[in-house]
Amino acid sequence: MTRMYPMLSLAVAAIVLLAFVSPAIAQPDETKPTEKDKEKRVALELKLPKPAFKGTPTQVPPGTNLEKPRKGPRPPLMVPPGTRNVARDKPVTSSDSEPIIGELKCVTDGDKEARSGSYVELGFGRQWVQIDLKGKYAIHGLLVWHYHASARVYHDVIVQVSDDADFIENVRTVYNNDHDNSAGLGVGDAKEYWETFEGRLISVDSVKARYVRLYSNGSTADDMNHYTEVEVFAKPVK
Amino acid sequence: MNRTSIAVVVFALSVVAALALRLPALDFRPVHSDEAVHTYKCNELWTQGTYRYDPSEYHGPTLYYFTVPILAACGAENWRDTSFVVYRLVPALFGVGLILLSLLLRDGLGSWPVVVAALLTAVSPAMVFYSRHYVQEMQLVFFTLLLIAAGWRYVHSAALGWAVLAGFALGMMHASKETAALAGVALLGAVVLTILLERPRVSPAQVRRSLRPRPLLVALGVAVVVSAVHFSHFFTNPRAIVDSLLTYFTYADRAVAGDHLNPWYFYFRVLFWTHYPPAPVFSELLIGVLTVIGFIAALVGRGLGDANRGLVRVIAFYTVLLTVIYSVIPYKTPWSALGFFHGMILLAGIGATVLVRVVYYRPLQVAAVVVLLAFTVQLSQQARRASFQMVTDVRNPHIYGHPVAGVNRMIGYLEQLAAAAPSDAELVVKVIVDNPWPLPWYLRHLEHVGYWSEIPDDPDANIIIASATLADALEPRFHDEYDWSYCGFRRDETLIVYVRQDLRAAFVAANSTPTSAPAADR
Repeated sequence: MTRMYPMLSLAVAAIVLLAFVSPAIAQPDETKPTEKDKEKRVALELKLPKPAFKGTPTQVPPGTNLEKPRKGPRPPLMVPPGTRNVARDKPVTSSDSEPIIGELKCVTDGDKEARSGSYVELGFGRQWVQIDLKGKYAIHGLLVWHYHASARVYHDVIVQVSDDADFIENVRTVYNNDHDNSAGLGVGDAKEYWETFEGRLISVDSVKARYVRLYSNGSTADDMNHYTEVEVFAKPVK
Repeated sequence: MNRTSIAVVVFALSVVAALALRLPALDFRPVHSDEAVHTYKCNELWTQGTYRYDPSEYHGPTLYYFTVPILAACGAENWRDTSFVVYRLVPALFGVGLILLSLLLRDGLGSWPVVVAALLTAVSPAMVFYSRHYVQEMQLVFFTLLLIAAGWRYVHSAALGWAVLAGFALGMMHASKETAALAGVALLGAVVLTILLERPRVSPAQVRRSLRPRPLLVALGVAVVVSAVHFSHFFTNPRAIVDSLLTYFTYADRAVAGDHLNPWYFYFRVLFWTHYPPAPVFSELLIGVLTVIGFIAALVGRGLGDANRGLVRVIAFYTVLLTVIYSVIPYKTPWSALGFFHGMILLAGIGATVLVRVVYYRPLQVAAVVVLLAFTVQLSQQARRASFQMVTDVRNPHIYGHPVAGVNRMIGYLEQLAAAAPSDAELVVKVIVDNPWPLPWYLRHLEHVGYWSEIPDDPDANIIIASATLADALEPRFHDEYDWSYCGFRRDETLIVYVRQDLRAAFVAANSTPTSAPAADR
């Protein structure tokens, strides 16, 4: 009988251990990066379009919420090896089904130059475009060009990801520079920024999702919403 | 289905299309400063029961008289309770009424010209846009058409009732807007030209019968009474009756000097060709081309079918004369075009019918109808774009001094700040803007709002809204700490919204939302 105690103790310990561990195994928290994700990081290679203008205009006062122009080159985005743009040629939908200029496919067609035919223009007010990545990905970053042929600041730039196309379940906000909650999705902590040929590089900490939705609410140039290109850097979830 | 049934169906569809384009989302577009001022003037009539005509501004009172019953029906008790939907409902209903009113011309112009004109009125981008704009223009056009239709029916029937109705329409035109005089002059000129042109076929006796003094005097009397009742607010302010005539000296000066001076071709550019590539073209050239065909048909008097040539000629001359008058006057705003443009639409109805009629070959007739329908669909797409998509965009030819979407964003922000404030009584808003309209409309819910055109001695407040050009002079005078952001107001005009730090902190606490992963901006 005494020989059985160690065996019994081990069995009880295993059961207790499983009781704590099994939920984690059965339902892993996919929004958090795994240790493996954090292991190795490499600088993401970006292909940028040609610059269309230099400098920033002065007629718009900077405001508390406008980011100061960066000095020096942009720091690289460090991502796990194998991370690539998974948005290219993926289907795009929008809150404005009848764009004023261009087509929604411009958002993911790979053409990010500041020229006519490269961008889609959506109507007045808060609008969004949504990319269906056609599968679940661990997202490490986004690169967004609204319109960079002239200097302007877009308002209420908000990026959300979700597991469902209607953005009802498991919606996560990965970027929000809405200073006054005018988009109605809450006040964000990011700052507004000038559009340039470099686009807006947004770091995302390995958030897993299938759908990416980007909001905007006009710009300092006009009340329309433009999207030249959106790149989503991610790896497939196995 | 015979031709008459088809005409009835197309007319009914025109009314449906007109309603569908005019009624939805009437408060979608930011409020124009002129519209906001009119709501304020209307509020005086509604809540205080008073109206005093100002011969230097705001035009006639009929807009307010038509608005008050709708405000009362909606159950609102004061200006604060109202929605802009209610105000814009007035021009929207007149815009639809204009189509229904054209039925009075059916036996003068013929069924199909009226049906085509109804369809074009329903989907015309200009007609749709200004049917959703709270100014007097749409009622002026409505009562001008009523004058033409009632006048025509009086000449046709010699019934005194039509003369009385024509007089009523004339009085309402005058009480709506001073530019009624231009329409009146154009119409008088058109009648004279038509009589001269028709003289070989119309005997002096017929002319005398149509222009008998008694019915004309009755009509003029009705017009004077209707106008006087409105301007004087039921004779409580008789001086306004004189002022409603003296005002033409003011408007004569304004027509040639001051703001809104535009080149002679301004209206043609607005209506027929506005294009900022790569944005789509705004053009109602279809109506322009059909107008020319209708005008030629009126002059030569051929291809008119059952239409009364005299009436067609009156409309043709009226349209051309009014177009010339408006083009010659340097003062121009886009909505002023509506008067002659509706004349063009009536002529276009005639022109379209003539076009189909002169093409004898049946397949070509069908092709002409298909092409006209395709262009009409394209017009309706433009109307949707102008009134629902590009509602603040300068590439839209009807955007003229309109505020930009920044106003909507700012007002949403202010409402949330007010909600975050400890109490309404403690929330003080100071607006330091030279011309603040339409902000008083948007800020009507707040208790303590003051307006300054220059920086006051003590500028501090919970919220300060100031012209961006004042920032350098204003900020050193603050005693408190502020969070601040900019917002567009009108084109090339920016406002700064200063929010005192304690209020901003309360707002952020109530509305912040965490990002699921820290976004390291690069």
